[in-house]
Amino acid sequence: MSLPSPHEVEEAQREEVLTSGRPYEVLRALRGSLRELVRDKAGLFGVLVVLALVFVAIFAPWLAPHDPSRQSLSDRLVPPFWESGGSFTHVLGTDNLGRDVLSRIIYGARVSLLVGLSVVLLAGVVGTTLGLISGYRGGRVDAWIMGAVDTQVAFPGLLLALVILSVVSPSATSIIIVLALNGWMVYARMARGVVLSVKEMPYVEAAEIVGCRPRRVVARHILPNLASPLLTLAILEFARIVLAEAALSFLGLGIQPPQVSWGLMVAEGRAYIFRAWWLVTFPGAAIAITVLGINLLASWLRVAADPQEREKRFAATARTGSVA
Amino acid sequence: MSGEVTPAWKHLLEVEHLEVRFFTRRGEAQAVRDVSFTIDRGETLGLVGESGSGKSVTSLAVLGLIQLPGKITGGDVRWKGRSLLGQGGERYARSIRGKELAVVFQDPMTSLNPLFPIGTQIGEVLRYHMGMSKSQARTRTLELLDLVGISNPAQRIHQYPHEFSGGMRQRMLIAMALACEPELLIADEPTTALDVTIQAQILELLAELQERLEVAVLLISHDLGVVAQVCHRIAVMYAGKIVESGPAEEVFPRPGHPYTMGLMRSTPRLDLIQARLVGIDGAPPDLVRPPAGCPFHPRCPLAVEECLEEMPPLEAHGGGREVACWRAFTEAVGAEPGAGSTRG
Amino acid sequence: MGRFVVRRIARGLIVIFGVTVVVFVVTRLIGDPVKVMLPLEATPGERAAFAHRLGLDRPILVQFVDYVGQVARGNFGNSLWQNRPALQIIWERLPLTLELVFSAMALAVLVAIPFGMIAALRPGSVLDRVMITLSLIGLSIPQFWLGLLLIVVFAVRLKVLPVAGSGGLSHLLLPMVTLALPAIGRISMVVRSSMIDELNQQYVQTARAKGLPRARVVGVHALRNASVPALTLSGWELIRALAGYAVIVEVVFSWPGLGSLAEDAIQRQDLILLQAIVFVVAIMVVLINVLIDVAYKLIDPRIQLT
Repeated sequence: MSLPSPHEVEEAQREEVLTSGRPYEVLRALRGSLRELVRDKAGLFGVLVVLALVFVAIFAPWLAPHDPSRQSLSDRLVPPFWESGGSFTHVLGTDNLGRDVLSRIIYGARVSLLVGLSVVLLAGVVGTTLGLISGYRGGRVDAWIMGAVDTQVAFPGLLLALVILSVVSPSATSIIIVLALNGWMVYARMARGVVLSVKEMPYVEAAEIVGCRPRRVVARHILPNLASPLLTLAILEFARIVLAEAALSFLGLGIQPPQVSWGLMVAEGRAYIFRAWWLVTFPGAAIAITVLGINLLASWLRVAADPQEREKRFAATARTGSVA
Repeated sequence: MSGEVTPAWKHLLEVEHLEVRFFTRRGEAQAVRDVSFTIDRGETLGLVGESGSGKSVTSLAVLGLIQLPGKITGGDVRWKGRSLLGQGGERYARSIRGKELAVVFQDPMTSLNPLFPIGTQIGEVLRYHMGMSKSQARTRTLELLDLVGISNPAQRIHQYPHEFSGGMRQRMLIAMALACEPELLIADEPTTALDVTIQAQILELLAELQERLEVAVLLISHDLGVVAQVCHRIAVMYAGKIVESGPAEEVFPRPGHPYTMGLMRSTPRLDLIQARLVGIDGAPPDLVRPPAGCPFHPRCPLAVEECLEEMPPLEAHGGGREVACWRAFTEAVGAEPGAGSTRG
Repeated sequence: MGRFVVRRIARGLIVIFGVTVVVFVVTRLIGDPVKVMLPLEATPGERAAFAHRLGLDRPILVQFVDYVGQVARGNFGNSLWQNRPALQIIWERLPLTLELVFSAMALAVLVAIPFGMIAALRPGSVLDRVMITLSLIGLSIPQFWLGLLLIVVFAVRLKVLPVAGSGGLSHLLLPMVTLALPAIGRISMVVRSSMIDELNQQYVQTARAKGLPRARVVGVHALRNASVPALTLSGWELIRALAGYAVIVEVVFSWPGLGSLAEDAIQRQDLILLQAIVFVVAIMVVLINVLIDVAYKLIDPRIQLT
């Protein structure tokens, strides 16, 4: 028995399903359990939050009541409509420059989605590819790639990200690259793990014996087994990235004005925290609800994709059911 | 002791119309259906059946270890005349478990806690049930390890499970079970996970200890050969029901239920020259939707119309024998060795 | 054991070296330290003089070898902002960060273990679901926001705790809770799932069959096994808090530790100080990793330390 590395336990938490090698399980579960989703309120909440995020981000120009960057000195620090002095013109109030908070939150969804998706795609593609190569080739390639993973995993990224972003000029692009450089390792580990477990399966060995080319073996036999764990992992990583982007923007090292980001809004509202609580509260709540929704979606998927988990859930309800 | 007091109870262990169900998404699986048997002092009962026949579930139910999704849904289990089920029963069950009623599980590799030294794991039973001090428990543990044939026990008690072989671990588990001198030892497939040579040693050990300590044994096995070596009486389970029971020396030479006959033919025996080993066709029934009538009828070479319609009751056939079959003691044409479906 | 520790530290040195290389390369190649550190209106002459003073006009490899040599002798250079040894400034701030991080992680572990254990006893029950939901909320809340909300509620509205700064326990309370909350969420989820796994193990059935009280079966037999992954994650949380989240929490609460020092160094473009901070943190990370590995061996005798 060898020592688990620090990262592995956290991954193991995600991995309950990951390496079990059941192809397309998530997709099948999606189809099969919409009815169960309606009953599972937490999962339903997660799905709705994610759908709302995507919807709001896409249709921001039509949904936002105001131009998010239009300043108005006469409308500074207007409170939300239910407080005295507030009105329905600015439902969630305005900031110190008279900009509409609701509109800025709506536009902020775009940045969260853009950064989250880009990082997940970039890190996911790079990490998965390296993991596939590492697992499939083995030998020295494997040793090198996994060595890189271990070294990078051994040192947490936030501080290094801060250093890098303090040197390069911060922007959406630089934050995406830095976060992707920081996050590819989990995908590599997972992809390698799946490859190693699947490689030993009789059907893959059989495919190799009959002379399937390596690329075909990977495409036909290994990728399908990767689909379900990859999706769950990507969703969890998405939640992590949204939080990281907000934190970096809060520190002034991420998204820069005049662009809008929830983290940046909290940072800008911080100076007015005693006079205008809504400047900090609403964008922060937007981050928290989004991240919570994504996490709930992921944990629902994990249960839905795992027959054993579903069985356990059923048993738990049977406890309360009438049993003679 | 001032003379023998006649106990208020008749049997050490009484299992009466026991029913255990597992709640799955597909429906309720009836793992144990209407199972009744008794065990007396010093007696050895063998419970035989394929995996999934409900024999292990029965033993867990006796121990009070059934957990959700499983549940005891009917019947009673009595230890010395007192029920082990229900509110007060559970507390009673815990007080006798490990003390008067002990168990050895199937897989010695996973049955010991990997993170505690072996001495601690045996000692804690003694300290908890017998209120022994640390040093008393240690002395007794050394005795026990010696009893089960572990050499150099004083050194062994500080070692961890992973430092022992499977056979050694099973000896440790037996020592642990015998710690408080139980009156009944449940041995659930005690040799299945072991090498053949080790199997024989463990069985010998069990038989020897049974004689020496006069402990009653409930031996659970899928292997008729194992049961035949050790047991006074046997009960054969199929699909959650007892289909045949009786004294071992009667049942083995002349099985009454076609399933028992099939089991005997599919068990390799050293004392008989068999032409071939004969498997039983088909698979055990789905316990969520068991077949109507006799659960064995889809696989039974003797099945007639009646078997499809009505479940045969367990009926006495004299000499303490009971068989649940409409055609008990019928020798099938296809039941001759070599005929029917042959495997191996 | 001794050899293991030595080998682990050797591996840690590689990590530290890697971090040094990355920081060095990033600050020298991607960014121009002269441009970063001098005001915009500086003349070319001033820039050249500044570059020469820091030795930045030499080839990059020479600079790197020189830097590593200096670092090996414990010389990180003078902070450009405060014009005194960077290490000296760090020593002043480090204790406060350690106080914050260790108290927060102790709190997290003490809360998360019973929390996760109780949930694991009845998976799927109402209690379990409430626990899962609370944990997910805990790990979904952005720390900078949580910190600000806590300040508003406890310091501004209720006026029971100080707004910011360091001092006694009253100053520590809010930043500690802020730093601990997401860790509580993550650790209790891991404790829960590993506890559920352990409770389904055969040895737990053996322990129950021995007639041991439930508290001993769950709290001793299963918990010890479940604590192996919990320990891994707690160590990782400690490292992450130290080398990341502490920056955010310290900035929010103006806690004068290493994190807010790093923030200051970034704001003032003091790359020399920043490099030194990253280096010191990297050393602590390596040390904590070694300690965690040793702790493993104490819990699990099967682990071979090689």
